[in-house]
Amino acid sequence: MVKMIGYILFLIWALPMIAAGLGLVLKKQAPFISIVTIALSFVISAMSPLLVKVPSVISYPWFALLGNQIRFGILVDGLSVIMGSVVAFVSLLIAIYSYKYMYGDWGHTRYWYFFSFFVGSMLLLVYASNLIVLLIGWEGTTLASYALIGHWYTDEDEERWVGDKGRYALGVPMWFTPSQSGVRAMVVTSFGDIGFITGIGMLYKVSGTISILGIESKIVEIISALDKSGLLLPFLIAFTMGAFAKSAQFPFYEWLVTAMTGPSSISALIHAATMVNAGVYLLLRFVPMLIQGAAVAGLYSSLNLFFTYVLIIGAFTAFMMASMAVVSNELKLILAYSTASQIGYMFMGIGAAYFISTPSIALFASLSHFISQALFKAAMFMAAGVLIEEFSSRYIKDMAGAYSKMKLTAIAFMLASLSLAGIPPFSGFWDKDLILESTMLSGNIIAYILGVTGAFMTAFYIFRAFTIIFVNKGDERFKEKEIKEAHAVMLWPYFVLGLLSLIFGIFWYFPNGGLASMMYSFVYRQSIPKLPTAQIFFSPLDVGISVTVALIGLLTAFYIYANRREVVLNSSILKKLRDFLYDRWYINSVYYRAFVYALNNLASFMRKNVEFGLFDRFYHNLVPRFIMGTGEKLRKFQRGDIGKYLLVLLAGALFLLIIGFIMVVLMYG
Amino acid sequence: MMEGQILTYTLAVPYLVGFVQLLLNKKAPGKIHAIMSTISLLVPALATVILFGLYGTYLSYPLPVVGLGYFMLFIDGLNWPVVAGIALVTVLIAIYSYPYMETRFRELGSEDWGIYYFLYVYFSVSLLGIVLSNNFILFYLFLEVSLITSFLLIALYGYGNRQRISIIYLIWTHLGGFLFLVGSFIYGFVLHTFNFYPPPISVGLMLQVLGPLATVIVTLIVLGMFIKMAVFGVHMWLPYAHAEAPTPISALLSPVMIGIGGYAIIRITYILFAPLLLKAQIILLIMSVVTIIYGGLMALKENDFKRLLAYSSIAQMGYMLMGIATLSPIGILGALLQFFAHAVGKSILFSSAGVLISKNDNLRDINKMGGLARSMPYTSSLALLGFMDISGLPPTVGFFSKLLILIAVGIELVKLGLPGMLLLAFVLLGFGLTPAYAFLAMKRIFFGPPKIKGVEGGKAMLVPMIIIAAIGVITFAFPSLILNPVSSFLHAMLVLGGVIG
Repeated sequence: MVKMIGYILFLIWALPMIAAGLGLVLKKQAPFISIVTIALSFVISAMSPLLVKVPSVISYPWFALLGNQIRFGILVDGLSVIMGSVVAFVSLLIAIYSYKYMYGDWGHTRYWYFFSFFVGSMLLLVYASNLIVLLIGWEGTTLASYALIGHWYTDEDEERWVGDKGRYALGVPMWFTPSQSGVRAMVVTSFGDIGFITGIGMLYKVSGTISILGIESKIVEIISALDKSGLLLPFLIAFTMGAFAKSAQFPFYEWLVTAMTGPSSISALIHAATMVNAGVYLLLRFVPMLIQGAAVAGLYSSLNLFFTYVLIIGAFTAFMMASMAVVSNELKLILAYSTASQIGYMFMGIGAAYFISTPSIALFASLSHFISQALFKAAMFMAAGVLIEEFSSRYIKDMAGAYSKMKLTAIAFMLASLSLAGIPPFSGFWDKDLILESTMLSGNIIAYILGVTGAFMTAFYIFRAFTIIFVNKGDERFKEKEIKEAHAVMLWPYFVLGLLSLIFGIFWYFPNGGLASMMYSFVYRQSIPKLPTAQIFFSPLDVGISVTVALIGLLTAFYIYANRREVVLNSSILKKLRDFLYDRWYINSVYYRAFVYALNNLASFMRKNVEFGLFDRFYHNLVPRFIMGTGEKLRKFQRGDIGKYLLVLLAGALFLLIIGFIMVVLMYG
Repeated sequence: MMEGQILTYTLAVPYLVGFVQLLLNKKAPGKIHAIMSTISLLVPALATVILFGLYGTYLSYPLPVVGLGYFMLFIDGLNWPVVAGIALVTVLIAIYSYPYMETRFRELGSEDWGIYYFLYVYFSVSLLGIVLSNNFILFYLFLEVSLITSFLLIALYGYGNRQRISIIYLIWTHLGGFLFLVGSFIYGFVLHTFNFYPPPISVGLMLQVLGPLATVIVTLIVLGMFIKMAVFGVHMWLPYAHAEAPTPISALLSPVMIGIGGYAIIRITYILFAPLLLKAQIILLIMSVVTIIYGGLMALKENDFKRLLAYSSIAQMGYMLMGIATLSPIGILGALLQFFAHAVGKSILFSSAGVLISKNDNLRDINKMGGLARSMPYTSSLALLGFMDISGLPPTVGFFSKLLILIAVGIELVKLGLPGMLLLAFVLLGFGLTPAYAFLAMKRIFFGPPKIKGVEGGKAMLVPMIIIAAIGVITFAFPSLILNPVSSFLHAMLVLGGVIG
């Protein structure tokens, strides 16, 4: 009976998958099926701690890997329940929004198929009991994001593009069509996955297991074995490469920026509920084991380098992406930069955890920031979708005056913005501050400075956008447009999320440590109890710095951009700086020149000189001709072409002789 | 008695029916020929699957041949993925052939349905025969039939300069076959038997008896099969042959025919001579990495859809070789699954290319395509599944083959220590190229602004493709169908000390 209840939990990820399949058949009903199944997934996920004891694994035999029986199953513990429930809840609201937003779209069936598949894959990833199951969800989200980013694949509507048409940076085009962005997302994220899978292989070699709990129980042996062969750092970098790529951290963030070519509802899904959070989940899953294992194995210092790497990359991404958002003109692009930046903060928290006495607090801060980010970012993207449709433009300047016609949207957007900017008592304040505090305690001053500067820019860029859109009055063009408030089906999902940012924030700390200490003890005392825990505590100095910085950022933006004050850049240095930030630090261009064009040129060169110039000419031209010229006698024996080409035998034999010679030498040696 | 020879008899059915079809030739309409071939190929295909399902390992009664050991057909855990892949693809492509060849015959001005299907059936069933054989000579006989028939299929119904290309194909593949044959002669003359299954003497003893000759045998067989797999350096014949063959034949040649090379390396050299391969492991690893990267780069720059797929096959054979080169049971498992996954993926992709060729006026130039997903939703969805299969994305069986090969690489990395990081760098590049060329091709062909309006393939083309794709998804959902038999075979060998862990 207990087992039966356990298997019901499979429905958490299976229901959306079933919805995907059903939607293909019952095309018109697809949205309803999706909404209902995702709602059920949410309910089951949230109820799961009542149905089974936490943590527990429910699995069945799957396939044999040599003598090892690999089981397919789900792992229900504090981390998976919280993340899974947030994913399902936010996805549910986005699904409701999508019903209206995508109504009548020419790719309606395809949209709902991949939407449900996306949510199902993410839930499978979060609940997976072993790394192969996790990887199925992981790559499932890659596929779904590819399809949905390129949803409007005919590239005909320039409103769906990203970047300014005709703009070049270092000779590289800086505008991207949906079909192109899909390929970028696919190539970058699956590149990271190759490292991830070889990492799994290394793990399997030293531990003989791929199940998450199995790895946890053998973590000390794993760390010792890898440390002995000097492979610990390479292993960790390979293993987390997929997480860095998926979570759009430096140097892999480029795909996320151009992913804005997808429908806004999909941007909300990718940024708030699924995809980019997968990397955060993977680290939150494995970092506690690593910290605890390293301490037991007495190898604490050998992980220093890795966690410094996580901390610095996170802080750098948080800073860098925020700086790009400061000058960006496209609403969705600002939000995209913001996501990579906020995920950077989560990585910072995870990196800092290793260096402080109560790592669980820093990890919890990152987990909580995931929830805050999910709430406010989903709200913003859905609001952005409405704004873009109403104004038929993706640029914030064209949206000025929106407040007069869209008051509720403005309120929702403001609530979300305050949370993003880190103003108390919004939820974004608490966890971001906790991350910054942990970073300070970790003693890494560079990361702390990057983080605080990033926080300043965060408040600035989001209130720059808010001021330009909602505070400023519309120009002449605005009066001609018929702007109206969003339809209730679209409005309510993001209005609720905006409100939740506030409500979640208020109850986050109050009363008596509030929701935060409840979640904290659920995850880090009940499910992952091996790390030292403590009371969540805020130091007045850090809070002071965070709040001041955020307020200055907010007010500066308001002062500069309110009342249509034009920002004129007089000095050429400032103009250059703007271009530098606007063109994403020229990193996209550098990538294209260093990898894309370089590989392309290499391929062209090889095609011309090796493939046809060498092999084809040698085997199918030179060799036959050489022998035709000198071997007239041979020709008399052979009739026609067949004889000529028989001589190709010789050429092939020559190559094989060389390879064969090496093989023989190796086998004898 | 019946039970012991059932595999032999069922294999004989298509040979007989094919011969009848040759005699009938123009006397029967194409449709009848298509049905006859499909059903006759279905007989051994179903028989192998059922026999394997019933018995696990199945051996037919051996037929002693003086001086050569004995001939026997068998299925066991190791050839199961290969047999399943061949059975699946050959039957369904027989149906697909009909609408395709209808167009091709119209272009050529003659309707030799009997000749086409005779050659097709002989080709297909010989592929199955190769994999089921236990004896070098039997293996080579089936191989020879498959080479001649496929040569004729290219020469008679191919595209471009088909006479020249078919001869290139014939010569290269015979060079490979010749090396293989020489290797097997040395084996046979020393051991007085040509049986490689079951091993005539224990593996350790064999290395002692053969002495230095073992090295020569392994080298010759591996090199011969390198040509067959179109490993870098001896790959030049493949882009010509696979691109210019009639498309149904490409769909068999590309995944199945060349993959058999990998199977032979596993079945013969890995099982019998693993310690020797271990010594030459570095060259196997280098050849696999170079093949993956080179095939990927060439596919990236190719503008002819079929030629692009041909280069992709070279890269995919690099995957298979990489699984073999790790020389760990998981790598072998991955390599054998890679055969199956590639058979599924590449046959769908070639079939999609075939839809463009036969229904859209020989459309092959990718530069002329674009946005075809609008007018060809089914073909584009199927092609996407095919590309997912070769890139290893769920929910296709390719996910597991890529997974297992990369896990084996990870295991190898731990063994190699820090120098292994160089291997990792190349693996990242090579495996990273696959989604790049695959999804770039997908974009150039099916996405972007529609340049032309495509004509969708009919039911007779789409249904076989859909079935192949569906089986790719089913074997993803239930990987134990393919993996468990291979796993238990390799595990048993591992426990017995037959292979190296």
